Amino acid sequence: MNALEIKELSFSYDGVTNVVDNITFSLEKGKFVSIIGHNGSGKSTLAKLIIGLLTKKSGSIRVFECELDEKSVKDIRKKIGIVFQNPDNQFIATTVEDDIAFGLENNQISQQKMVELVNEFALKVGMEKFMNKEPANLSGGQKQRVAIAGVLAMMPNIVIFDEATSMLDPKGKADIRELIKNMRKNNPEMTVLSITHDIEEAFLTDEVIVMNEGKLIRQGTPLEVFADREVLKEISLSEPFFLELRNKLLVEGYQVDKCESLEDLMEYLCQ
Amino acid sequence: MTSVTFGRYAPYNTFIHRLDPRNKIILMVLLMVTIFLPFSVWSTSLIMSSIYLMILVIVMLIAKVSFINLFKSLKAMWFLILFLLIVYIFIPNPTYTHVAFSIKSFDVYWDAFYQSAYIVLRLILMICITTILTSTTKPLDLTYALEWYLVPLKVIKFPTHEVAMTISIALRFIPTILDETDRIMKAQTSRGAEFNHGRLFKRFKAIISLIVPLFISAFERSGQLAEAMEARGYDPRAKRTRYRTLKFHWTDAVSFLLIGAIFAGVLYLTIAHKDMNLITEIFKVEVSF
Amino acid sequence: MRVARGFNGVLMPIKVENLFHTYALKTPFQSEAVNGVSFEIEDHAYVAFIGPTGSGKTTIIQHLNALLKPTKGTIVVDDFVIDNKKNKKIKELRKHVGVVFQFPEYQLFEETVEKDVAFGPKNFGLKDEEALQKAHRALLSVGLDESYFKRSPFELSGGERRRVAIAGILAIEPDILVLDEPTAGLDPRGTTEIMNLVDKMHKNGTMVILVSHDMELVLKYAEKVFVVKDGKILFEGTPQGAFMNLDESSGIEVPEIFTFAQKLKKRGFDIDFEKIKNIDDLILQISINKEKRS
Repeated sequence: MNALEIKELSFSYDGVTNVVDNITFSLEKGKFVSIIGHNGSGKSTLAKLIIGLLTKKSGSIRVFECELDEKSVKDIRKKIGIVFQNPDNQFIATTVEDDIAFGLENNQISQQKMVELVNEFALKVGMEKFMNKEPANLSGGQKQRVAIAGVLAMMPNIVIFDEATSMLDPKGKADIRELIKNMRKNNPEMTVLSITHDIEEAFLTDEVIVMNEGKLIRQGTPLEVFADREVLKEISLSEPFFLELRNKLLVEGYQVDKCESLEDLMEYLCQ
Repeated sequence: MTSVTFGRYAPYNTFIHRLDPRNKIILMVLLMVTIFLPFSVWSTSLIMSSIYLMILVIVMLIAKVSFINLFKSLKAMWFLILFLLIVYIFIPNPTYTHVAFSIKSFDVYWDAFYQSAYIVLRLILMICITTILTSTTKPLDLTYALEWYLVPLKVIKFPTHEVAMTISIALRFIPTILDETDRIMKAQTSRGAEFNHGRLFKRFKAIISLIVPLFISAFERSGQLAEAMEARGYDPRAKRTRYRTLKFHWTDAVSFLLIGAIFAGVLYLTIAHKDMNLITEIFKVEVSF
Repeated sequence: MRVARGFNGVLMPIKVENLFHTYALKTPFQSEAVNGVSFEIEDHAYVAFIGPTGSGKTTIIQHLNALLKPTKGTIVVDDFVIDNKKNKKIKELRKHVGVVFQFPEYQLFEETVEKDVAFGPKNFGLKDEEALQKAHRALLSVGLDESYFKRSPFELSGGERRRVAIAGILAIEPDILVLDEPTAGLDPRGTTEIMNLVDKMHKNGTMVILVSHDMELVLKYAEKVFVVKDGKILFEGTPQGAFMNLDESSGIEVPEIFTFAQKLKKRGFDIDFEKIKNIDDLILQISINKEKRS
C-alpha cells in the first residue's frame, strides 16, 4: 500500500489557470521524498491540497488507500502532519508546552496522556528546557522545533515539511535538518515529504520530484535529476556544489564522470 | 518587548501568585464591594478606609507588587483630586453641616474635603486591588478564569470557547506585533517618514504607512494561523480536552474564607450599625463628625 | 550634525569609532549589543558584515542612518557626525544612506506600486511629478516594467513585492546602500536577480554594505568582510581570508568550496586561497597544481 497516491490532480485559484496541473505520482511508505521547484511552481499549493486545506478541481488524492473528500478529511488529517514555513504563524498557544499540546487537545487525548506526550516530544526535539517559554523569546529555529514536536506528538504516518527551513538562519536550518535526519532514523516507517527550493536539502532525500508551472516535469533519484542540466535550467535552480564541480572538471578534461560524491572527486584529484 | 510589561504581570512565585485565578477574581470582587459599603459617619468611613489600605498594603507586600509602578499610576490622579475638591467646595450640598472657614460670605465646608477624600481613597483602594490582580496573574490565566465564569452562557449558545481562544491568540501575538511595529517604523523612517515632527498631513501619511502594513500582515498571519490550526485538527465546535486545568487548592479555600469573613463582617456593620461612630466607641470621646 | 556637502555627489566614506550600543539601558532588560566597534569603509566599497544571529551586525548598521543612536562612540558619514547628542538634520542623512531591511516587502502600503516607490522621494521634498519619475526609473531598474506601475502592490508575488520595496529605497538615489539579508527566503532565481541588481548599483558607483548569512554570496560579491561576534569585530579582511582563518567558533559557516579547497591543501596541494572566488577559480588552482606535479 502506498502512503500517498496522486492521480491527475489539478487545481486553480481563478478557474482559468491551473496552479497544479494534472499531477500524478505516488509516495511509497517509509520513503523520504522531496518536491522541488522555484517559488510559484505550485509545490506549496500541492501540500495544501494533500492535507485538504484547498479543494481540488479534478483528479484524486488517496492517503493509505482512502480517498480524500469532505467526509474523510478529518481522519486523514490525523494521519498527516504538516510543518509550515513561517515559525510565528503556526505557533498558536502562549507557551511551548501548550503549543505542543494543541493538536492533542483537538484529538481529545486525555489530560494525563497529554502531559506524557508533551514531555516526550519536547525532549525529542530538544526543547524540554523551554516548556514555559513564550514564542517572543524563541528563535526561528526553536519555534520550528516546537512545531515539529507538536506535529510528531499526534503520531502521524506522513509528515510534510513545507519549506520549513526557508525562513531560518543557517544554524536554524542545520538544526532542523539534523532533527529530520534523527526522526527518520528513529521512525523508518514514517513517510516524509519535503517541499523545498533548496538543492542541498533535496540532495539528501531518496527521491526528487521536480515541479514547474504546476506540472511534474521530472522524477528520480537526486543524482539522476540534478545531473539533468536541462531540467535545472528550466526551473532556475542551481546545481549542488558537488555536481557543479564535477561537471566543470569534466569540461576541463578530468575523467570524473564515475565520481558520485565529493570524497570520490577528492580521491581522483589526489592520485 | 516582552509580555512582562503588558498588564504589569511580574513573574514571582508568591502565595498570591499561586492562588487560582478564578478565586482571585472573586476575591477582588468581594474586596471591591467591601470598600464601597457605606458608613454614615465620616470619621468611621475614613478609619475603615485606612484599615482597608493597611490590609491591602500587607497583601501587596506579600505579592511583591511594585510600589513604584503604583505611585506612577497614582500620580496621574492629582488632577482628578484637584477637580473634585473644586467641585465639592463650590457646589455645596445642603447636607453639609460643618463650616471650615468663610471667604466673604461664601462658606467652605469641611464636608467638601471629606467628600473628596472619600472618593480619592476609594480610587486608591480600587487601583491597589486591581494591581494586585494583574500583577500576580498571567493574562492567559485571567482568560481561562473568565472562560470558566462564562460557561453558563453556553446555554444561550454564547461562543465562550471561541472568545477565550480569540483572546489567548491575541495575547500570544501582542509581543510579535509590537516587534513588527518597530520594524515597520524603522523601515518607513529610513524612507524619510517622520512620526514626530513635520506638518500634520505628513505625520498622518507616516502613520498610514505604519498601520496599513500592520493590518495587511495581520490578515495574512491570521490566514496562515487558521490553516495551521485546521491542519492540526482544530474544530471549535467539537469536543476538546484541556491540557491546562485549573485546580483549587486549600490555599484558595483559606483565602476565600478570610476575605469572605471580612466582607461579611463589614456588611453586618453597615447594616446593623450604620450610624456608629468609631471614635466614640473606641476612645469614649464625643465627637460629631 | 552638519549638512553633508558630498562634493560632486560622490560617495562618502564611513568612519566608526569605538561604537557601543546598549538596549534598554538602566532597566532589568539591559543588553549590550555592540561592545566597542571601530572600522572604516572606503568609497565605492562593497563590504559585508557577517556573523551569527545576535552578534550585533544589524544593530551596527542601524546606526549608519541614525535609526539607532550610539550609547557611546561616534559614526561619521562624510560630514555627518552621529553621536548620542540630539541632532536635527538626520533626515538629510537618510537621503544619502538607504537601508533595506529584512523582508522589506512587509513595508508596502500604498494603493499603487508607483505611489509606494514615490513615498521616499516625496518625503525628501520632491514634488509629486519628479517623485513619480524617480519611482518609474527605480522600478525599471529592478526589472518591473510599466505594466506594474499602476497595480496594487498586494496583488504581486512575494519576489515582485520585494523588488518594489527595494525600488522604494533606490528611488531616493542614496550614495550608500545598506541591505540586511536581501535574499532571505528567496529561491535561487530570486536570489540571483536581487544580487545582480545590487551588483549593478555597485558598478554605477554606489557603496554597498551587505549583511548576510549566505557565505556563497559573500564570497562571490563582497570585496571586504567584517566578521562580527558578541558585539565586536573579530576579523576584517577579504572573504577568502575570513574563511581561511576562522573556524566554527566564530559562528560563521565556511562555504563548501572552501572546505574542499582546505582538504586539498591538507592532501598536499598548494592553494592560493585569496584567488578563489568561485568554482572556476578553484579549478584553475587545481590545474596549476596538477601541471606542477607532472
